[in-house]
Amino acid sequence: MTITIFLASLLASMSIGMPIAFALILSGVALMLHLDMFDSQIIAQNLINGADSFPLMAVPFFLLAGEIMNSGGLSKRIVNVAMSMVGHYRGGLGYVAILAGCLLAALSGSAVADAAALGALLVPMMVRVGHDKRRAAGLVAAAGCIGPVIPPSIGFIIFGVAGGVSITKLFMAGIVPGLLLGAALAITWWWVVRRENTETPPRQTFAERKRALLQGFWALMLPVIILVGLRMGVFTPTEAAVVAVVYSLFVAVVIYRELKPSQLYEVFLATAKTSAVVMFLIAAALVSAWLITVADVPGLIASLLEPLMDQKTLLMLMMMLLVVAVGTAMDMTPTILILTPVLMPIVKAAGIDPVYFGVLFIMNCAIGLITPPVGNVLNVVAGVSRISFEDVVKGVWPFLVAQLVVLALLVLFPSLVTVPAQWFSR
Amino acid sequence: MKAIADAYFQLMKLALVTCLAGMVVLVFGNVVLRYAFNSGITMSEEVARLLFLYATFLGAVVAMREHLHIGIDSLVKRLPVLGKKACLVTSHALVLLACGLFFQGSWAQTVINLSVKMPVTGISMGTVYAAGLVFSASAALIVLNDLYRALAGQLSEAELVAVREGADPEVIAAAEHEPQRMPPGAKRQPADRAEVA
Amino acid sequence: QDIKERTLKFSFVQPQDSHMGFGAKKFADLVAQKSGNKMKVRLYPNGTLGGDLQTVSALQGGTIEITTLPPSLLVGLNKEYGVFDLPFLFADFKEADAVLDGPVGKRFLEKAPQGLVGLAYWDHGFRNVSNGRKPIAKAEDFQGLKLRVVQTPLMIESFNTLGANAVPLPFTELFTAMETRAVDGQDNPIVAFETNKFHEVQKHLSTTRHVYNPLIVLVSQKAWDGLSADEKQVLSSAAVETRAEQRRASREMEQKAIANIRSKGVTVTEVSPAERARMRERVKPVIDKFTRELGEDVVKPFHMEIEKVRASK
Ligand code: NA
Ligand code: NA
Repeated sequence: MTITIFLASLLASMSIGMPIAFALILSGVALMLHLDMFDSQIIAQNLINGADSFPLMAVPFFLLAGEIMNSGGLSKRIVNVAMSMVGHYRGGLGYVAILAGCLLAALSGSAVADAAALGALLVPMMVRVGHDKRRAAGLVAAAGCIGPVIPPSIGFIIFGVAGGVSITKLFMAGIVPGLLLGAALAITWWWVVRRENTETPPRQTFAERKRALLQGFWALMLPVIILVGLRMGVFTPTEAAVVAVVYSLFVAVVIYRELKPSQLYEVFLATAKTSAVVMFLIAAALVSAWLITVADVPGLIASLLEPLMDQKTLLMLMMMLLVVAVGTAMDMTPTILILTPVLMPIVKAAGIDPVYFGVLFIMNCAIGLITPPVGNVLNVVAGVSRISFEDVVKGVWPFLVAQLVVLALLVLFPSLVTVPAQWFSR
Repeated sequence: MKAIADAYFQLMKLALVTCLAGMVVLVFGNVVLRYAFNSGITMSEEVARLLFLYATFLGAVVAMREHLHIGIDSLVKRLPVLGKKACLVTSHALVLLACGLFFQGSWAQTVINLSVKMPVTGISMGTVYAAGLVFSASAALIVLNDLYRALAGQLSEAELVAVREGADPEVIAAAEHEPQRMPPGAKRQPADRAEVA
Repeated sequence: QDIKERTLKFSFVQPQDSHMGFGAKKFADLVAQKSGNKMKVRLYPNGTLGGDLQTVSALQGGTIEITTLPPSLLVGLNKEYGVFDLPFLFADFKEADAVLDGPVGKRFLEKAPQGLVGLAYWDHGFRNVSNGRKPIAKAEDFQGLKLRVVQTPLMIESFNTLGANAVPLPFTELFTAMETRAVDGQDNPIVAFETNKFHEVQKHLSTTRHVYNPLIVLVSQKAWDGLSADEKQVLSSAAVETRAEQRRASREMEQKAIANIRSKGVTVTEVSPAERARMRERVKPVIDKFTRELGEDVVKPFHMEIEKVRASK
């Protein structure tokens, strides 16, 4: 009953066009009335305490670093590096998109930002050499989704805070699954373009490659600093985020000189707004999450799933199908916030490794960004490539299937996640 | 009247940028101090968290005014004008109710925490809960203004959908003019600003 | 008896199988038994309803009814509660229990900050220092260690005086910070060390026992005012009756925790009473300074009660 009231009030307020954050607050009001404990202080306490968190400070920091990298010329140089390496193969620009997707993923925390940068830079070039526009846009959308799986990742941070899981461990465990997503895309792309007749850019000379690498060096150092810093214990995730900000600021302003100090106000303002929208949503989700906890809904669901508790694979499969279903209609942040308090008790009770679950959960949410009807990455790529939403959907499906296959493989063979995670953690 | 509102939001944006910059300085400063001098700014965490809190709620107000909060517009988009208007008025009224409750609850908690001190800086914990007062009062005024404009018929049909799911024409224009480079600041992805993944 | 059907929310930050969870469960059972199953206490472990100070604020606002936490965390509401953090105040459990259950402890229950009602003191444990670098056996061993300590001027000055570098860091970042060696160590009761799995990232634990943390059981004044005299009696007698068993269980858990973390490879170093006295001597200027700040009239009764216990040994 509690869950019905929660979902009904949430969906009803969302469907009339209310911002999701306010819809979550209102479903909290509905739950308070249902539980006979109406008190406006519950709203205020959860909204405010939800935003009063040190680990979540990594969210604005990684967003700021991403904003600086896009407007300071770091992202552009990363794409150039990928271009100089794999651009000359048959369908080479596709591999450029995938490789650049993986490299950008290691710099930024957000799929939307990666997809926007890739889409604006690569889709027009791919169309020019004769690739199908829908396929090109679809590939770029799918490549953007690697962003939240390879660290740093705002998805991992939000999940880590909501579920009480080590963010550093999640980061380390995401590397190999993220590369697997890239490999699956590359195989799919090879299959898709094997009969296409397109021009390929000429193989770059050694000197040209060296130039691209040298120019991209400072940008490429950032993931090295973050990963080595986290791995060797120079800093915690929140500190890694702030180091990324200061480093990218240094590279953009002093080395590349593409970001003028006068532009900084706009860059900071844009980031502050994005961060506020995400954080306000996080805080609002806590209102209903608190009431769902008080009503002990997670315990109820866990007892419903009791018979499945010793069949971990089946349980994982069921949970992943649920996330795919929710992911078709909802974007990453709300999905994480709404499902984590419901699923984590089950994960713990069944003895599933929370880090393994977190990697698959976030990967699944990332794939949800390219599943219709609601997929923010699809929207962004449609926007920057100037094609219709429907056309991107048509172009994306082979890549979507490839990513779902990777997800299914990881459900069947957990060691694909857990074994490499151990290499990186010790 | 509009001039006052504009000045208020300019001030708010300046405060927002200051908060974010302050967070960067404090948290980064602590990393440097720990490595270079084996020490730290004791008050860094408390102050940085307070700045973060205000950055969130001030930013959420600015996002309210610029309609940046994410929602699902797929249903509303398909309605006729009258239906759009009905949905907008209902949803604005409910948002107003949420703001009212948030204000009431924040008030109670601010009063309770006024004399409670943070352990290091001694700043009143009331300032934490006062962020809710600032947000809910400002947001309520924005919603009232939008509601008035909707009822007075001052909104275009496109403006009757107050949330967004994805990219808007500005992005397309920006990408077209300068495909080699993401423009900074105001011309950046609104979708990027509105949703993070 | 004037007892109505009610459900009360009991929120605490440690897991259900911790010493806090044990006390809360025992308390809930006693309340049910004493009220003929009319009053139900529902437990919310792991901080699912909020952190320590958030919960205190919720109690004051009346949205949560019961919690338990170390009384020194109330220092922001009333600075006199800082007395519970004075280093090396209590030498052993016997002294702590006697003082807390006597007139001095009672006075602190009665003057609980506005909006809160204090019922009893349970046990959290002595705090002990752990680190990833070297065993601490004597006062000099603190030299150069980067330790995360509770964010109060008293704790920071105490550890700096011992020669360590007290580094500010939120508890939520602590595990990662020790894992990545951003800090060398921390100080917490051993049971908290074990439940937070610090043994995965720390090699050495030393029984410094520098601060004793009791737990204070608090009820929301708003909820309290809505109870009949009989119902109040049920709650306060249940909290007091839980006390002895909770203390016994908590201290047994500490012994088990020591054995457990030893088996996981942590070196547990015993700090001798003589060395502890030397550590106390070193931080004496800090103790004196903060005693003046708290007020002699606040601290002195503690020392007088402790002397009585010591005299009777
Ligand atoms: Na990433
Ligand atoms: Na989707």
